Amino acid sequence: MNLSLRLATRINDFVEQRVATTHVLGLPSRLHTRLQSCMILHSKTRKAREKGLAVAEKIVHKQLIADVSRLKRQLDVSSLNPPEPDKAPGVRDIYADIKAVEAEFGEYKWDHVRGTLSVTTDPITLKEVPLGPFRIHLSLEHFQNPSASDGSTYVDAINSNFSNGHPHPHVSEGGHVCLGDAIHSIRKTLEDGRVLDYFIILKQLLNSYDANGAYTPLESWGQEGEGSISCGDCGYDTSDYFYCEHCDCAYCDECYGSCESCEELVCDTCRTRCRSCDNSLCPGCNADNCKDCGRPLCFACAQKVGCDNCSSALCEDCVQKCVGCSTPYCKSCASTEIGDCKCEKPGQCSGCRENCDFCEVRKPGESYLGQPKEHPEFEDAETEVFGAPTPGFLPEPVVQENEEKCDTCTA
Amino acid sequence: MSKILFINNEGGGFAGDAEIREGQTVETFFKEKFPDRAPSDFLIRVNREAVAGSYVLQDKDRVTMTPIKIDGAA
Repeated sequence: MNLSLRLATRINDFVEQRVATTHVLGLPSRLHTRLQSCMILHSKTRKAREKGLAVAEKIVHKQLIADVSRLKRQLDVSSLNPPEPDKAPGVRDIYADIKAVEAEFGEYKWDHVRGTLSVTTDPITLKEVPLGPFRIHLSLEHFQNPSASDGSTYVDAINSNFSNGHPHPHVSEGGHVCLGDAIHSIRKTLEDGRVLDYFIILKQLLNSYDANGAYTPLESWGQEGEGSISCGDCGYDTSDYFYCEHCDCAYCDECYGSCESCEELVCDTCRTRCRSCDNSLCPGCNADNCKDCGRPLCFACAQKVGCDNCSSALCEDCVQKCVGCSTPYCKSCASTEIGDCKCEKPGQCSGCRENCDFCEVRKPGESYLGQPKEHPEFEDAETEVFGAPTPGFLPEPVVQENEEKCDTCTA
Repeated sequence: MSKILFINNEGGGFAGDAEIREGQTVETFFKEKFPDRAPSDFLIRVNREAVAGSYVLQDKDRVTMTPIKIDGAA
């Protein structure tokens, strides 16, 4: 078996594996989402019934009926036009592609250690700047995971006409191609196993120039002055730069901004956003981090919300409040402080549970939502009244004769 | 009606079947797909080979159109 055929077989295997793993269910994603929603609602209905929450059960059941009806309609429509699953292109097509690559680029090279196929372009000249030929690499692993190509498409410059370390206006110092407009079409060629199109698209990209998206403009190619730097974030070469004192790096004018608290200029890498108010912050104004999610908080938001028990700062999303008195707690304190009352009213702190409004007016054998209790553990001695009790009355507390009495009020 | 595989390498990189009329040339097919564009803006291949605009498309042909200019980024 010759090399081209072996490579075609291997690429076809990669594409087949990817297609097999991404189409396990064989259900369009929209239907899959709807089916999951129905399953969740069904589970909620069952739980509500188990807990005797009649109102909640009714609401969720209504949603479930509506969702099942929508699912049925979508299934009816999709059964008329069933989506065709992706297919691997087949060894014959890929083999033909590899032979066409040979015809287009003269030859290809196979690096069995790195698992890459590479071709060399003709010398490239952009706006009269000779950049020389480039070797384009295709990693066969990208056929298994096409989205991995977004940040790992590499070329080697055979000529050494670099400017600020860049061999091409759209290639980084490390040889990484910034795909720009080609990002989706490159991914699609890998999904479809189209080897020839992959190399042709990259060849056309290397033969194109966009001044707005270049690392180094061709107008100043090779003329880097002493005052020129490469932006620490995006890599753009510029002489008009900002120096961030927090991280000791220089940045272009697109990669820094001001702190919305103190107005200090700071690079995008050091700048964070307050989780609660979304203001951008310099490291100095990042007063605290939310105890539960670890996201940054500004001074005002860190002071505004905090756990009543351990005083830790919390963001708006993570704070947990008692449903009775709205006292805020962090996650760990809420797990000990907040709980269900014995009458099943949920989410109350210990103070509110002791003075639960419903416990004082509920009927014997009745839970928080007015449903008869099903669980024997709630039929505690406190609610039991001897004889035929009047609904709502609880037995008087027994006062011991020998108890100490208050000097002031004689209670 | 015959069907061909049409691969458009511009933008999202669409690839799918397209219907053609009897005797339709690659030039008229291009004008239908890109009414506002010039053929010189694209590399046009049929069955992986460059062809003349007068080439008459056949059933199951594979037509690839790749833009000449593809902007990269930084």
